[in-house]
Amino acid sequence: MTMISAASEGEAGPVSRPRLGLRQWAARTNWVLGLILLAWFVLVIVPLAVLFSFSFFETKSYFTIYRPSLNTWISLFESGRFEVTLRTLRIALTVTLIELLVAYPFALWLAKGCRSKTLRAVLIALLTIPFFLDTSSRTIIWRAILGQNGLVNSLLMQAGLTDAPVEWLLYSEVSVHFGLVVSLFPPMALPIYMAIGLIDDELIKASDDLGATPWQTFSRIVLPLSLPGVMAGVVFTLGPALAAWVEPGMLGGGFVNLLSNSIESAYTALRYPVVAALSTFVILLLLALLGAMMLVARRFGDLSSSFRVLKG
Amino acid sequence: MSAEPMLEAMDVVHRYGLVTALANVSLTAGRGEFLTILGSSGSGKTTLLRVISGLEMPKSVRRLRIGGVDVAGLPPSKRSCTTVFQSYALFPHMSVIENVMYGLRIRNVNREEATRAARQALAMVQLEHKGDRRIAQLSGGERQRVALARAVVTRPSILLLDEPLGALDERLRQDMQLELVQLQRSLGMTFVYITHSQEEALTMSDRVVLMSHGRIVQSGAPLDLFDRPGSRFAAEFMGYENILPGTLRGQDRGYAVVDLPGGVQVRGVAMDAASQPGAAVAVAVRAERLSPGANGPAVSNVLPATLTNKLYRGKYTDLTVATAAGSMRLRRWENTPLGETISSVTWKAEDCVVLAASDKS
Repeated sequence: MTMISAASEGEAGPVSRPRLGLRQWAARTNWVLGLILLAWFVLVIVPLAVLFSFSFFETKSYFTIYRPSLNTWISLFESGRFEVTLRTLRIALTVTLIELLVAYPFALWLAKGCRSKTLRAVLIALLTIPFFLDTSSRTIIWRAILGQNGLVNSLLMQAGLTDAPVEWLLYSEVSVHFGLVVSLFPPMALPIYMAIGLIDDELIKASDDLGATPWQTFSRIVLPLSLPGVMAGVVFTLGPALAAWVEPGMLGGGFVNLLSNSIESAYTALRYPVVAALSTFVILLLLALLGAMMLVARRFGDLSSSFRVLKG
Repeated sequence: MSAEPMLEAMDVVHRYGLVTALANVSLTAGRGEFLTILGSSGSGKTTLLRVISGLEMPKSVRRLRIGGVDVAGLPPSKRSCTTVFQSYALFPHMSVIENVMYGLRIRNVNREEATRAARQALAMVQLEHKGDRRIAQLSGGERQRVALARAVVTRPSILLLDEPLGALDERLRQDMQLELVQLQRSLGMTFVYITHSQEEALTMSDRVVLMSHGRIVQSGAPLDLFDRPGSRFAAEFMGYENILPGTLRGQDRGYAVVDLPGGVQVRGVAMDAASQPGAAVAVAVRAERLSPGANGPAVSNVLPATLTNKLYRGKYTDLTVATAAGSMRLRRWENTPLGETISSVTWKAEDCVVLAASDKS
């Protein structure tokens, strides 16, 4: 609800004439908003609620027993899934952090440093290409590159740098991290690029003119004004990283068990209440992480004022 | 004004690709001077301002000094001048007072002292009660004042203003003109002010520099530019309504004598010493300096004329008359009788200038 109202306000910002049109349009067609909310409720909230309620059932010899109990949740925490949870959290957070450190400078350069418009257009097009390809086919190719007889090891051995193939390149946490960082780069880089692109060049010039060093201009003007993009990037990266299934499955080779793998094995064992409980658990984890992030961001700067840049 | 100029820019050359934005422009400004750079868009005035502030690095410059310090090649942050941007460029994620103290905070002035100085600067622009507001909550005029306070709070040697009143409405603009001049006087700071409005240039400045196509066309006191334009371009830009073609006949008692088409001789102040008798010249005179009727002092120029059009404009009336030398415009401030007929127009020789017919570029 608040998201939607904030978005429409943001869109209406810079140009004054279309704003009036948009406002009038929105006022006249309030039922459109109602319809969208209803559809969202039916398609997103209801299944989640059903999923959540399923977690209070249990299975006995492949049959779901429809009697409310906490047994599934209790077994969830007793069956040593804490280790899996911690590993999932650690990998998701590490991947998000690496992503942020790599994508932010890239987005900054793309938005403000890159002088050639053609190059910028090409790079943005390249960033969107992964959205057209299936994750599995993009991921499985790394097996051929990172494997024991893969491209990297062949090159290393031919160059005489190692005698035996480097084993940790594939089927390890390193390869899982690597696969996730590669596939989640666009969702981190694009929102940050958009947010930095919205910052008026005159603001940066004004900061220079008032005597700020490049670092001061970055930390006091560019970074705070790009925070909405960073937040969006983190949401779009952290969520998929927590729920990642293809990369840990294909590049972890069974050695890196994450919550998604547990969900999958529970699913194949027809233990739907466990699937439901685990999924709910992942969603709660994500919400808790985002909540913590909001708190940190509020500490760091008045986030709501950062969004004002959208309104010019 | 002291002997050493506050601003010294010698032979600035700048190009954007093949377009010459500044062709050997030299500019100086004294301590406490209000200098206005006047010109239409594309005249190079904004480029010159950006070269001074350091936001633009010129292709070449012989000397660039601010407050006696050589700043050629220095980044904007190392120059003792600040800019009031046309778009104001206020930081949207900071409050009014945070914007104003920005220049002090990045110089590591402690928060208490910076707040005090920022409050003073805000009081100077009559916004002391709005320090905690967000930029989005301010009106255009208030934003303008915040931008001004933010620029002067660090006490730069020179304040550069890039058409700061351009986005304001007429009434507010006139108020702000007065306020800017008062502010400049009380601070004793050198102001370099960019505008395309001759009215702003004339009312505010100590000195006006008129620019066109990357060159300085004329520079002088506002009255000089207003009454003694040195070229046809300057006359047109400064709003001379009547510019008549003619042929220079000679000099008489310090005035140039010009033959106009139709066989009438007029006199005016010669602005182009190089013109020889027989050369094509232009006679320029303002509409409000013309009066109808043939009776006047001996030096007056008289031109037979017939009234062709009358345009009531509220405060004044514009009359168009046809003469043998071409159509002319008169401005009358008093009410004109309804059935008035005009047989001739007349003006004083010192109210009219004789210029070269075409500008040498």
